[in-house]
Amino acid sequence: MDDSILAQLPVELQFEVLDRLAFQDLLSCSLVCRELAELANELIVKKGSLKIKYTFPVITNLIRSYRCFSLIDQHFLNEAEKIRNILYILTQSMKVREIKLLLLEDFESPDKFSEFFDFLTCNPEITTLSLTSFYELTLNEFIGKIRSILPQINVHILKAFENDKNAGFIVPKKLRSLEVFSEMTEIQLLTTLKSYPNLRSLRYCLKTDKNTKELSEVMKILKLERVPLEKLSLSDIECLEETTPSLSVFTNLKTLTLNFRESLTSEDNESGQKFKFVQKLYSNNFRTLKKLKFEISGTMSIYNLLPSKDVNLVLEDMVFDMSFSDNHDEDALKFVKLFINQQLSSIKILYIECLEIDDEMMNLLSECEHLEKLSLITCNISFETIWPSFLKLKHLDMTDSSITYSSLQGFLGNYRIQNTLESLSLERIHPKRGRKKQLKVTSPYNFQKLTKLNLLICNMKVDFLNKFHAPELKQLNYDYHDFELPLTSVVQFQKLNVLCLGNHSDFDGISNILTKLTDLEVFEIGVHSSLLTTVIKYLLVYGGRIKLAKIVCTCLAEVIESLEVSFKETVHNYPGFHLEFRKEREKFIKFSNLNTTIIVHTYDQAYREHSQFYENFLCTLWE
Amino acid sequence: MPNIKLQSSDGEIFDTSLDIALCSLTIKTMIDDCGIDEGEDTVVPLPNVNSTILRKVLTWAQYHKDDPQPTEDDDSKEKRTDDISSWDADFLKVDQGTLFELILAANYLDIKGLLDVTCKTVANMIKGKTPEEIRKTFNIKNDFTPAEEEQVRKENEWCEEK
Repeated sequence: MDDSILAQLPVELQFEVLDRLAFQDLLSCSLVCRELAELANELIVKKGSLKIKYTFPVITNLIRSYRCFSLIDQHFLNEAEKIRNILYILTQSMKVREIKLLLLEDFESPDKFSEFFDFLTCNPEITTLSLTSFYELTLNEFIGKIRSILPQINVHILKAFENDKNAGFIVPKKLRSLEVFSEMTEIQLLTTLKSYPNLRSLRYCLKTDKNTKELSEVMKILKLERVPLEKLSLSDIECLEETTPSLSVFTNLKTLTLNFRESLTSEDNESGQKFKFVQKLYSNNFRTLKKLKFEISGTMSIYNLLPSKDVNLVLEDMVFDMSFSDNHDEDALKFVKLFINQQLSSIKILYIECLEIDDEMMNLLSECEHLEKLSLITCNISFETIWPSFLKLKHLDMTDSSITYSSLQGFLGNYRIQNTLESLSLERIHPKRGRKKQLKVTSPYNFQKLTKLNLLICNMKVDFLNKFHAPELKQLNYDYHDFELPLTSVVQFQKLNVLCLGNHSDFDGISNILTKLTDLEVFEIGVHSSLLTTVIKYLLVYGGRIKLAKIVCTCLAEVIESLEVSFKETVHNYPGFHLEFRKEREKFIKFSNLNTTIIVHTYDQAYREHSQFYENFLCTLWE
Repeated sequence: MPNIKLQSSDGEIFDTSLDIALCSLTIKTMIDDCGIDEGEDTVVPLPNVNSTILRKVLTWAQYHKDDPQPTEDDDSKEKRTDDISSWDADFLKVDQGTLFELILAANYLDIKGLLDVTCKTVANMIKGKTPEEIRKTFNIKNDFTPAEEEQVRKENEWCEEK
C-alpha cells in the first residue's frame, strides 16, 4: 500500500489506529492488503482477551444451532468454575458436536485443562474441534491429549501463531488429522499435504459431480508424500479403476468410513464396478484395519461390500448406520448378519441403527465373544426368546428401539449381565405390542458395576427402581410425564453424582435427596411455577454442594416476568447464586449456584419480543 | 505564564505560552533536560513538524490546555471511537494528508490527547466499511491473490459473530 497515506504512518501508529477498531472492522482490515492484514491479525488475537466479554452472547448464538460451541479460553485457567459451568450446561442441555477453542495460554501443564478434557471424556459424541493457538507446542500437545481421549475427533487448525510474533503464520508440523473437502484443488492439496508430514488421518469427501480422476490424483499425491494414513473417510465413491496403483498408501489404515448415501443405484449394483475399489481397500489393509463404518441408504443391494473370502479382515469396531426403504430391509439385515458372522471372534464395539433385529441376529451377536459395547439405535427388536448372556458386555444402548418388554425384563434379570453391565440406556424404548405396557422388575436386579442409567421417556412401573439395585450408580436420568418417580427409591443410590428427575412435587423427598446424596453435583427437576420459590429455597438450604441445578418450570408466558422479579429478589439475598433463563414454548427457568454463567436462550417468538428485557436484566446481574 | 519560542521545520518561530507548549511531553523533556529557564530567549527546534501542522497543534493545545492529563488507567481501558467532542470533530475536518501529519506530530511531540483523537478519527474512517471501501478511502492496492484472501477469511473464521 505504498501509495496510501496510511502506509506513510510508521507501523506503531498504524497499530494505534487499528487498535481502536472493533473485531468486525479488524476482520475487514485483514482483507484489505497484506501489510494491514498482518497488523489486523495481531490485534485480532490480542483482542481475543477482550472478546471474552462477548463470549456469552456468542455462545448463546452458537448453541442456538444445538451443535456448535465457541469457547475463548482466556478465562480457562483463571475462571475454571465459569468454564465448568458452561460445560455442565452444555452436557445437560445441548447436543454439542463442535467446539471452537482459542488457546491463549501455553500448554505447560495438562492439569490446567483438566476440566475441558473431562468434558470431552464425558461427551464422546463431539466430532469436531476447531483450534486457534499462539503456540505450536501448545497446539501439538493439546491435540495429542485430545486425540488420546477422542481418537475419532476431527481437529481443524484455524490458525496457529508461533511464540515469536515476527515469524508470522506457521503450520504445526506434527498435525495428524486433516479434513479435506473436494473443493480443494490438487495444487492446494499437495501444498497442504507437504505441510503436514505427520498426517495420519484424512477425511476426504468426494462428490460425484466432480472429476472422477480426483481421488486417483489425491492418492498419487499421498503416495508421493508418503503419508501413512490411519483414518480415511470416503463419500459417494465413483468407480476408479485408475486408483488401483496408488492403493499402497493405505497400508496403515486403521479406520475406514464408507458413505454410500444416495450415490448408488440399481444400475451400479448390476455392474458391481463401484465396489471393486472397496474390495481392493479391504484386501490391502487386512492387517491394520480395525474400524469399519458403513453409512448406507437407498434401495440397493449391498452384498458387493462384503469382503471376499480370501480377505482376512480382523475388525474390532463396526458401525452399521443403515437407512433402507422397506423393500430392502431384508437385504440390509442379511448383509449385516453376513458381515458380523465374518468378524465374530474379534468384534468389541458394535453400533447398529435402523435395522430389524430378529432371533438369528441376536444369537449371532451373542456369539461375538469379545463384545463390550452394543448400540441398537432405532431398531425393531423382534427377538422374543431368552436373551443371550453376552459374557463381556459393558455398555448397552437401546435408544428409540421397539422391543417386547417381557423379553427385555428377562434379559435384565440375567445375573451375568448384572455382573458386567456398566451403562444402560433405555431412552424412549417402546413396547412392540400394547401401548400401555410398562417395564417392570419381576425379581430384584442387582447391577454390581452399573454407573449410568438412562430412563428418559421410558414407560416403567412406578416401583421399578425399588427392586433395581446398583450400588455404584453415579448418573440417573429420568423423565416421564405420567407419574413422578418415588424419591425413596432414588435415595438408595448413594454415589449419585448426576440426577435428572423430571416433574416433581414431593418436597420432603427432594430435601431427603439433597441431604442424603452427598456426592450429588448436578440436579435437575421439573416443578409447577407455584412451587418454584419453594424448590429454590430447598436448594439454598440443602443443596450447598450442588454445582448445577436446573429447574424446569412450566408456566404461562404472562407470569414469567413476575417470576423473574421474584427471582431477582431471591438472588439478591444470595449473591453466590445466579440464574439462567431458558425459554421454549413452555417456559424454562434454570438456576445455578455456581458463580458463573448467565445464558439467555431464545427459541420462540414470544421470547424474542421480550429479549431486550431479559438482556437488560441479565446484564444488571452480570455487572 | 511566560512564553516560549518554538521553531518549526521550515524555520517559522511560534511564540507561545509555556503552559500550552507543555502539553507536549517532548517539549517538556527538552526544557527539563536542557535547563531552559523562564524568560530566556531560547528557541526550541522542532525539526519534525512544519509550520502548518505546528500551528494546528498549538490551536488544539490552546483549546485543551486545561484538560486533565490522561492516566495509565485510561490506557488499559478498552478504546472507544464514539467519544470525540464536537470541537475536535470540527477541528479535524481536514484532508487526509493533514490528518496523517497531525498523527505524526502528536506522536513526535508526545501529546497523548491529540494522538488519541486523531487515531480515533482515522479509525472512524475505517469503521463499518467493507475491505473494498477501506481500500478506496485510503487508496490502498489489493495485493492479495484470491487464494490468499480466502485463506485469511478462513483463518479468522473463529471470531466471526454468527
